[in-house]
Formats: sequence, structure tokens, C-alpha cells
Amino acid sequence: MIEIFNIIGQFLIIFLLFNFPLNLKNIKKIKIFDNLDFFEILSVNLFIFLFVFLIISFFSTNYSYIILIILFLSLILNFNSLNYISNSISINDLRFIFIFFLSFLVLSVSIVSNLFLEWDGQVWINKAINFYDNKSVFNLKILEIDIIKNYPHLGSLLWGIFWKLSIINHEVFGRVIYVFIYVLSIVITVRKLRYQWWLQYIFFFSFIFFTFDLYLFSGYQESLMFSMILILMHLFFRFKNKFNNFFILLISLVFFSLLSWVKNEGVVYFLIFTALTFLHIKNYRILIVFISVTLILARYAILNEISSNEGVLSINFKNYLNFLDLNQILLTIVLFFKYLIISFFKNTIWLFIIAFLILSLLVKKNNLQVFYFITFVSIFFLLGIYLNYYVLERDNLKNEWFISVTLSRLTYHISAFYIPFIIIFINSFNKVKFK
Amino acid sequence: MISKYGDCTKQGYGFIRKIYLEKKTDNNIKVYKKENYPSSNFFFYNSYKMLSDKYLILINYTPLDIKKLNVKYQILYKEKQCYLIKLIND
Repeated sequence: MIEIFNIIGQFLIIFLLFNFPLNLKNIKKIKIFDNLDFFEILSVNLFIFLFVFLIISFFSTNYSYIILIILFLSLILNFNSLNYISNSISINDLRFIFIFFLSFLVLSVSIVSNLFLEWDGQVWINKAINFYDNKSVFNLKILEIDIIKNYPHLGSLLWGIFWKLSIINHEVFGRVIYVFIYVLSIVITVRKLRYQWWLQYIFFFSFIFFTFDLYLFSGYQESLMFSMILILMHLFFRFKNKFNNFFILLISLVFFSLLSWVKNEGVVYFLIFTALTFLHIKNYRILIVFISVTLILARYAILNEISSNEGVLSINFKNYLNFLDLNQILLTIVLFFKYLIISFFKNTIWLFIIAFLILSLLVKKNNLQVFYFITFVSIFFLLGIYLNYYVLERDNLKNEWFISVTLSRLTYHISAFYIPFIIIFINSFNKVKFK
Repeated sequence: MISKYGDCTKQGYGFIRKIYLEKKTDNNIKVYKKENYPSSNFFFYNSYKMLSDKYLILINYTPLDIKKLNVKYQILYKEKQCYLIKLIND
């Protein structure tokens, strides 16, 4: 029972944290952010929080003190705006807050009742321990423990910070932040469905049913990556018509770049968002390239420093020669599609995505340019990763298990790019534009 | 925890816990496992403390496996096939 109270307490803390610095009242004063709803404000605040703490993680500091300061400021801000917020929040918002809380509670309880950390989780936690102990990211360099130093640390940072904030001192309570972000990502996605509230709920529970995987919340970073992509896709559609505003463009690129701090493949997801932005506007194109390249180079420089030049970009060039073998190319392509299809069945949301894509093509309701672009890039990305692991880095072709797992996780991340298109497709029948 | 991470098998959670709590070690101790599992250090690792170069925890090691380590040692504590050993310098 005490665990449930702890989860409820954590929900309140996280909820308060992500209601700062923007809230329903002060957002009205910022014209470019006008018309953001309650959950969109939570999402923007989440990304501000992630960015601020990513920067703070470069310095050795007590993260709990900073959290307490933010909580205090958030309390003052929201207490002063209480009348305004209570008047402007709709019944539907309140219903969703309740559903949000309930889903968070149920999913968190299911995670807390299963303490086991899966294989990768037992590696990622070592980084979380570093941040739990209020150490900077550069301390990872001298940490005498098994960590993969050239992996980024944003997920472990969140894990460590919220573990520290928990009254019950157990790492599993640090992972409930992943649940919060996950539920938030589903909520803001289904709320764009321009139909009755009950249909939004049906989609909300369906998406959770088809995308929640307890295994991936057992210390993996996949759920965080999935949720962040889903939120960023939403924000991309929300702000794409405002990219001509330099401030919006800059913070969007910074938000997109946070993906690259969760896992290495996040760099590719960041590039997908950058390319989408690049293709969408005509101004500032050189600036987009400059900012994106700078952010990626800064990331590699920092990770290189932490990993003591152990090779952030290490590739075994000798194995490229194997790649020239035609039999191996054919075998690789066959295996790639075999595991791709299997991974679609593992991540059942893909069956819906494919069904909606086919329906969409049949009825020709959508402008599918973005959809095609993401498909094109994703296939090449998956193929690239597959070849890299299987042909370039892995000599042993018997190691099918490894690549099947990798593809399964990658397709899970990438499904988040496509889920908003299901909503767009359904909305197209209602003739209400997806903002 | 023991059912998931093992006592003297898998990651050896039970044995490591016993060493850290009952033997009251001052530093972190490196853990060697016979079976192929991820690091077990995280269970009780404290980043404020150093990693000891005098002690080793061995999980599911036979005497032959210890011999293969090619070190001089003294067994401080043993339970089934799990050991806390002290490394002896020449």
C-alpha cells in the first residue's frame, strides 16, 4: 500500500514540475504559444525540463535542490493563476487529467510490482546511480563500474533524479517518470481526434493496449524514445506553420536534438525531424543545417570526452570486405525482411499503421508526403543499422537473436512517427484540420 | 529479488547483499560471475566510494575457475560456489 501512496506522491510532484515555467495563464502572453491546451503545455514544459537538466548534468550538483526550487516556483506560479486556470480548464480536460492519473497509477503499479531489470536495464542503471549520487556526466568517465560510456545519458539522468525524489529508496520508483511521459504522449495524440470524447478514450486505451510493453519499461530506454518521438511529432504538426519564427524554429531544433541524448539511434530520429523541418520551410534553411550540425557535433564531442576516445564512431572497416560477398548480401536482405515482419507482429501497433496506410491509399484522403518521407528514411535506417550490426560489426551470422531484438526495438521507436497519421486519417473524414 | 537475480546463481544478488550488509565493506567490490549475465555491481555500488583492488566477489565459481584467474588469494567467506576472496600481493 505504501508503494501506491508513493506513486501518487510522485505523480503530484511530476505534475507540478511540468506545470512550470508555462501554464494556461502566462502562455496567453506569449503570442507564438497561444492556443496550446493544458496537455500541450505540459509537453512543452517537459522538454524545457529535459533540456535544462541535460545542461545541468554537465556540472556536479545536487539535482534534488534544483527540483525543490522548481517545485516551489511552480507552486507560487500556479497558486497565483489558480482562478484563471480553473476557469479556463474544460470538463474534457479534467476528464483527461483523471484518466491520465488513473492510467499512470495502474501502469506504474504494474512496473513497481515487477522489480526485475532486464538485461540492458542492468547496464543503464549504472548511469542512473551516478546521477542518483548527484554526480555530473563527466564522472561517468572515472566510474569504476560496467557502463557503456559512449551511450548518451538523458534517460538514466531522469531515472536517477526521480529515484532520488522517491520517499521509498528503490530504483524502480525512478522509472515511473517514463510512465508519466508515455501516458502524456498518448494523451496529447488522441486529444487531436476531432470526434466525441468517448472515441478519444477508445483510441487512448487502444494505443496503450497495443504499445505498452512491460518488458520495455524494465530499464530499457525504448519507451522514453517512443514517447518523446510521439510528443515531438505532435509538436511538429502543431508548430510547423510557425517555423518561420526564428525562436520557434530554434527551440524546436533543440527539442528534436534531445532524442540524440537518449540513445545513439536518436541521432537519426533527430535528423528525420530536421529534414522534415528543412523541407517544410523556405527561410532559414542554411541556419537549420548549421544549428543541427552544431548540436550533433557538440553531442559527439561531449560523448567522446566521457568515453575517453574509446570510439563513438568506431567501425570495423575490415568487415566491409565481407559485405562485398553477394551471397551474404542476399542472405542479409532476406533475414532483414524476415525479422522486420516478425517485429511488426511483436509491435502490434504496426498492423494498425499498415492497415491505415493501405486504407489511406485506397480512399486518397491524405496528403501523405511526410508519411512517405518517414517510410523511406526508416527503411534505409533500419537496413543501415541491420547491416552495420550484422555485417560490419558482427562477424557471426548465427547471431540472429541479436538483430531480431534490435529490429524489434527500432520498429517500436519508429511506430511513434506513424501513429499521428492514424489520427490525421480519421480526422480527414470529419473535415476538421489537424493543427 | 533473490528469486529474480539469484542467490548464488545468475547475478548472485543474495550473496552480494550478504557481503555488503554483513561484512560491512568500506569500498565497492568487483564482482566476477561465471554465468553470462550483466554486471552485478549496481546492486550496492556507491559512486562516492572507491573500487577495492584487494577483494573480489566470485559468483558460481568452481575451485578450477578460481585457479584460472591466476591470482594469489585467501578465501574470506564461502557459500556454495560463491566466494569473497582477498587478493595477496607477492
